[in-house]
Amino acid sequence: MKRSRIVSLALLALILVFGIAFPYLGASNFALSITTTILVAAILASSVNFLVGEGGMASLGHGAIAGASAYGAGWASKQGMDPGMQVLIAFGVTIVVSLVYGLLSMRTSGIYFLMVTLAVGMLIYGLAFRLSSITGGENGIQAVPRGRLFGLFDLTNDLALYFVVLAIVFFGLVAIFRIIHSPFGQVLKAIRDNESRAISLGYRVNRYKLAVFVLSATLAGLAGATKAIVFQLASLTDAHWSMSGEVVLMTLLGGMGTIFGPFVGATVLVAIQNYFAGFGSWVTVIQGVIFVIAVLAFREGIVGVVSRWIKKPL
Amino acid sequence: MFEPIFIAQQLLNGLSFGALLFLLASGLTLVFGLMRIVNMAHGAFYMLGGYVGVVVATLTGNLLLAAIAAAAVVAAIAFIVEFGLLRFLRGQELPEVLLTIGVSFVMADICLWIFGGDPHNLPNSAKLQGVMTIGGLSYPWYRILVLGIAVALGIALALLQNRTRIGAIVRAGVDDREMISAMGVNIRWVFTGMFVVGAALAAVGGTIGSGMQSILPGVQNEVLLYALVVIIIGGLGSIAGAAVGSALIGLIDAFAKAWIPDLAYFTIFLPMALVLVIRPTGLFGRKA
Repeated sequence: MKRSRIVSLALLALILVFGIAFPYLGASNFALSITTTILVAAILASSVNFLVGEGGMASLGHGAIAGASAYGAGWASKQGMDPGMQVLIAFGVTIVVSLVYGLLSMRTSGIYFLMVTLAVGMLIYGLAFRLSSITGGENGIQAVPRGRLFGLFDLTNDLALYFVVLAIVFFGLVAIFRIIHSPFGQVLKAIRDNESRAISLGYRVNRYKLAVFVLSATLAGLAGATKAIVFQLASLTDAHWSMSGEVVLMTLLGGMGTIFGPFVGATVLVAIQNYFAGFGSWVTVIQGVIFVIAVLAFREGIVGVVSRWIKKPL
Repeated sequence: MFEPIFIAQQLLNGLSFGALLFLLASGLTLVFGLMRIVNMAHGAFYMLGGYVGVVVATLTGNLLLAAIAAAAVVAAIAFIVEFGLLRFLRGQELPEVLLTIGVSFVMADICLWIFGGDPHNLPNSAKLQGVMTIGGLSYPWYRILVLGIAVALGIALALLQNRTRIGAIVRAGVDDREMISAMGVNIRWVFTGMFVVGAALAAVGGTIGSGMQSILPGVQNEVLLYALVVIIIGGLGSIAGAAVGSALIGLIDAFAKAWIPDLAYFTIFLPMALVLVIRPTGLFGRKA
């Protein structure tokens, strides 16, 4: 096993250990809920990061995928289904939505891809807004009950919820790690580095791209369903493209194409949002300014810089 | 529902909305064609242009003055954005888009802070009054004026692009940046100029558009969406494509709102999906 991979695995284990120990280190309820928020945001950021890093495709539509999934979970909960079923319904919605995305966007690349994902994302937002009998329109689906996951974990308990979210995050991270280092991941790398060569070697590039997109969308859907259960809310704001922009900002801040970048980025952004919450509407301005600065001067992101220092990919 | 007068009215509604879309989309597509930037702040430029236009029109009662003021303010801001920020990212597609998103966030929030959350509309004093009557059909002159402005502007842009030296430089820049630089043209300034012109077009659109639909927080996203759909359909970088796409989307939108209001939002995406599946570069687009 390569040393760089060992470093990543060690970090993964460290995060897991710290994550489990965190509630017992005297963390307040507030800290716990913030951490849960960060974890949920990090899953979504990871999905975007995966698509950019492995597929070389930047999407501005992942907020809407997560939003659609959240609506699926919220709607299912209102029909009295348990969390397991909610997640299944959410997955169903996600798969349908991501196939629509994929089929429309696969024949485009680069900036065109970005625009198509953006437009489809706005379509989903519009649908969520109009189909108010299902989605609650501007109110969203509120007071999503938490229930018991698989009849085992009582999600009304904040601590249990935290651990479930942590498990989901960890599952997501391990899945990404596995995919990146699998033969499939190697083909993706080949496509990213030189698409024409991959085609000439006989790989069906479009199928691989669609697969990456659906994988990434699945992760986004997981984030959306988790979010609906954690915040007990599926809302229009989540489906809006500015949410997708925010998620891209997280990946950018943390470091695009790094495994841990989305976590660092999510932590920084959620911390900023909480810290500046008192400034009211100025949060958006601050966020916009950070966006501009990060793009102009800090393209590698935090993890990217660290990774360069220790000369290992993270 | 299918009476001739009703149909004629919807036709005019569609075309005048399409005219407004053209004002928006032409700037967006010109900037994209030359600079390969999808300017996500275009909607924010439209919104700011609308606010400035309404304020000036309320003070002076003059639409032309309002449009000029709006274009000037927005052009100045676009110049700062291009010269101070975008210039450092030239040629890097994703960072450029992300930067304009950041700019859009900031602008939208500052607009909210300055102009508040209430809808702003063009005052009647600055609007062309009265209705055009032909037989049983009556239609506001203002919307006819918008249609006229868009047609005139479209012709002017086409002439500018195909018949003048400036247009030749821009077309050469689209085709081969290195070559045009080698010919002694400072392409950086051409870029800056085009970005500013695109933003000014959006601002004029905002001012004129404020007479048709209110300027309020969130409008920047809605118009950006329509403009994006138009240029995806028409083909990025093509003025003719923007014109055809605008008319198409305007008409589809108007008839869908009249006949199947529940699906109105959905219907503008159907042509987009079709175009993407059949001809991914858009009706008039060239291969990237």
